[in-house]
Amino acid sequence: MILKGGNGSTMREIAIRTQQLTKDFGAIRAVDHIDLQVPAGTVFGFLGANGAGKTTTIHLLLALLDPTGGAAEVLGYDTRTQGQLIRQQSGALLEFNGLYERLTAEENLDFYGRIWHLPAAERVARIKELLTHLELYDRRTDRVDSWSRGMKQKLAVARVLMHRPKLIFLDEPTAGLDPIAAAALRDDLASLSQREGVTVFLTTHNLPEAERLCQQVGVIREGKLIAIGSPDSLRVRSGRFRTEISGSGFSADVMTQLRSLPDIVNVELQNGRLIVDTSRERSMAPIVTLLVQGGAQIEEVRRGAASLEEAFLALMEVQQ
Amino acid sequence: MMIDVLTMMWKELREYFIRTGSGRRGVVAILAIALVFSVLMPYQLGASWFTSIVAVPLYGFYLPISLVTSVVADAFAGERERHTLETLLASRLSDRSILLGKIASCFVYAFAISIGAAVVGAIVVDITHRSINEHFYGFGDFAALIGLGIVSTLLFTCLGIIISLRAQSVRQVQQTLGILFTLVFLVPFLIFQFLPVAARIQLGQQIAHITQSGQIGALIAAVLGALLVLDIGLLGIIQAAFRRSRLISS
Repeated sequence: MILKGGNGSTMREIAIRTQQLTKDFGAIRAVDHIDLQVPAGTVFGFLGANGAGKTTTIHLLLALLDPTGGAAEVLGYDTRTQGQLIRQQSGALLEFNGLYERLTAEENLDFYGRIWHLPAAERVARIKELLTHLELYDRRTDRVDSWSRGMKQKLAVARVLMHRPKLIFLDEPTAGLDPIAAAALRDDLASLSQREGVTVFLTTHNLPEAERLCQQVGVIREGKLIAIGSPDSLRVRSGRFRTEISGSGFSADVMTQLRSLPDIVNVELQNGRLIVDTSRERSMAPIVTLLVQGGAQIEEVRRGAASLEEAFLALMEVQQ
Repeated sequence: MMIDVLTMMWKELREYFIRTGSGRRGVVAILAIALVFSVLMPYQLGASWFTSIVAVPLYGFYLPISLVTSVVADAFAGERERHTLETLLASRLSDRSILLGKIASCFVYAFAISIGAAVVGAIVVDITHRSINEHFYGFGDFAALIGLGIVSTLLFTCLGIIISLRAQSVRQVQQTLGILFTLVFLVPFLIFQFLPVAARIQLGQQIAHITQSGQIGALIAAVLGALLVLDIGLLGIIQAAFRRSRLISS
């Protein structure tokens, strides 16, 4: 067992650590022997399809569910016995925004400020600070049920930050936000993590978002953690290397010839550019030669690893 | 823990008074109750209001459990239905604080309005019937009213919370409580209706005997004691039934 008791001593290095964490619901294994380490002060992205086990993992880490097997330590506390201490120092925006729609925005934040024992003056100041930052202060006395989904999501984020937690769990935080608000939230989360050392554990389907925001990502499929590391390392580990070739005259014949070459995984035309995925890093000279011989005119050849989205899809294919 | 319980009550009571639609409807409902139970009924009975057998069961039983039934469904089923329960459970509040906060707010809401209605009823009688000798309920009656109010409010609060913990929707809780409510009121009435005439007369005589012989106080105390024991048992059941993991996975 990795757990020694909740004195917070391991908190500086590792905010979340799980060992063979497992959760069964009857015959269904929702989380399957997950080993995970999230360094403190980082943004960790948990990626996976619907029903992969992301939300159950968050529930386990917040000690809302008891694990069937294995162990988890969050902020130095054992999830089996010290759940309340974990929740005391964490904030969570779960699957639903959790707002009391019959109350006003101000009342919602005030309630959660009271829960975390913030003094009245501090609550007022914090509500003003957060709502002003999110451009919601003028609407603070509105009942939440009259708000748009995006506004509610912003308010839910404000609620999570209200008590300045050390660790925040965010389940699809930018869902429902417009691109500008989503970008602003991403910036906020990044700066929060850097400036105040807050650890962010987020699940998302938005892979470009995870790529921009997360220092570490984990990919979960059918309860199993199938990959973990930095987005860069995942892209490399996915075993796909992408080359984008700009130019013209990419005929069907020449593309067929390309596909027959060794190590070529995929060849396709995207917006006039030829995309060539290879299973290993290889010289592009023979490919370019073949294209030129086939009548194509090459303007630019750009090489790079696959995007996180492609790496994610590749990982899913491998597992299937 | 007391602060956490009060925080929970702060939120619950705020929501009770703005339950549906606009924020004023909760207050309108209270005014309607006041009009019927604190003005119309006392005014109609007039001088006999303080000596009749209506006030104690009305303010100590019927009104508080009606009020409990109207709000207790929201306690957990409502939070689950509106997807706020998960976030509340993920907060730093302890199981006991959440539970006691929910029970206390439901109890305070129903009990305070009922006792308030009883006091306003007395004032209405005093104002509209100035010539009468009594100006308030007798000490025994008022003590019985408060005692019955406490145990019956707590009883229905606990029953409602137990049902609300497991129910998937507010409607489900309301239907179950509605059935319970009907059984409590209708079954004794139906049994009495179907009794042979001789048995009814005998029952009436026995009640009169108890009332006249001064044993009524002892009888009420025994009933209150039994209900209190039941309340304590139900509180124990609630505490055992409240498990975060069960609420999350249900």
